[in-house]
Amino acid sequence: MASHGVSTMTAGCWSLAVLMIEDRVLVWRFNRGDAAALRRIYEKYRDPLLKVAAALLNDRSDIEDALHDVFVDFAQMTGRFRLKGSLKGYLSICVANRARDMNRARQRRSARAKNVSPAPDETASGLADSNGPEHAVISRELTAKLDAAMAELPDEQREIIVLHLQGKLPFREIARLREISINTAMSRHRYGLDKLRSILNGELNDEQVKEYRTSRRKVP
Amino acid sequence: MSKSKNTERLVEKYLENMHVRHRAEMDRRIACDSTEAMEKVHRARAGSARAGVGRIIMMHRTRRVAAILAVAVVLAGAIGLGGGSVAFSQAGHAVSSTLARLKEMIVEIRTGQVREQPPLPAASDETQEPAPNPDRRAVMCVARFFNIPASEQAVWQSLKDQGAELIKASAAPETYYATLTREQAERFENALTIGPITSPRILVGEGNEGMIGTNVFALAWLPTVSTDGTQIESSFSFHDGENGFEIPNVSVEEGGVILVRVKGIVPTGEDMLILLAVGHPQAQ
Repeated sequence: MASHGVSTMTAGCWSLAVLMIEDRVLVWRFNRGDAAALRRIYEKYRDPLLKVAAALLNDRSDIEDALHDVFVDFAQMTGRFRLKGSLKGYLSICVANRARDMNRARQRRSARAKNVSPAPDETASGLADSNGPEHAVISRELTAKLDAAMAELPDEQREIIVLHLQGKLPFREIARLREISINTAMSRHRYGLDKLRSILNGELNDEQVKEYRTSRRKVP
Repeated sequence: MSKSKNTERLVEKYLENMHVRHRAEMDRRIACDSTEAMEKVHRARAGSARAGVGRIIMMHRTRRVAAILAVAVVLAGAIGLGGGSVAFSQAGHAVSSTLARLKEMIVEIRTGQVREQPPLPAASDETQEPAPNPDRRAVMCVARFFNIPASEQAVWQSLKDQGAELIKASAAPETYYATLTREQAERFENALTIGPITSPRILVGEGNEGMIGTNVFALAWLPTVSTDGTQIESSFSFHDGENGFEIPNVSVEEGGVILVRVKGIVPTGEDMLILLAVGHPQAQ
């Protein structure tokens, strides 16, 4: 069907456009030193950024520290911050970078690699499953396996997977912000998933995936 | 479903199901520390700006329109960047202040009552700027003013032909602007058969504000520079004596220009074209 301009725009298009305009106004106000604009940016993107941090760090204090550091650094860019793509994408990449630094620092400090990912018991205790004990056990097992499998991925593959699947950033945006080619971003995503599948050793099936929809994991 | 897709779906669900509650304590800590960091930046900027308050006005003779007087003003006061926690209303006030000063300037120019200024630099067709504070990076703006008569209206078509998008900045005065790459700027200037009326330059330290006034309108320029010095972003304020408006946060690649078209603002009814080239002094 031929496009007829505005008349064919979907509600999604409009909301995205409004979101981007709002971000641009917020950034303009932020560059002018408006503290309320900075607070609004924080409140608007806090939850998705927390999720990105949680997927990469898992430790509650590290997650909060990562978000804290990113926003303090961002605040210091007032007056000279230039928004090129989406603000959410930019902040998500900053969180991923900070998480990577924290993971590396932690690894350097000690050889306690297991501390990077939560112990299976710890993760299981955070599950809020309302489908009964049997389902909860399945979800807990899968969560524990996924936690361990994700922790085994190289940083660059895990980051792309998290930014794309959780941050909902398109590969093009990730590639631009990471200063890599779009093919590299897509390859890392694919290799990461392949590695996850090999780690999980083909134990996945649709039933388990379906099971997963009804469970919610809480980071302690 | 393929195994690959199945894995992707599972991981997606795993990530979606990850529920992280934010804590009020965390919110307070982040809000407090980030606001403080922002205020610190603005305090530092305001402090360095206040250190060298002053302005120099340079008058230019015009070649075609005798009425137009170009005044380049270097203001070492970051008008829009008051210290402390600048609430939005205060930021708005700062913009209003800039516009008010522009209006004041244009009234002075029109009435010929330009106030006593600090010693003027030696007469020249180019502004001689005070040496910038070495602690701050200097940025230069070369502004070329053209009157575009009706016979030259084809130049606007040449812009469209190049795919340059003119964005409306104000309804009164009717103003449009566009950012041109180096190639677009060269082609556009080649299409121009008239020369600029005047070409004042402003040199300011980053975070400071420069002003240029003519008898038809005045503009203020506030540049900011990225940490690595490669990116310069400019905000422009305009006032024609009656109305003021802003073009915030525009930047162009090296060699590019910011083009501003103000329709029918010249007393003879002609359009005014301003080509603003922003960059580091050594690059220009």
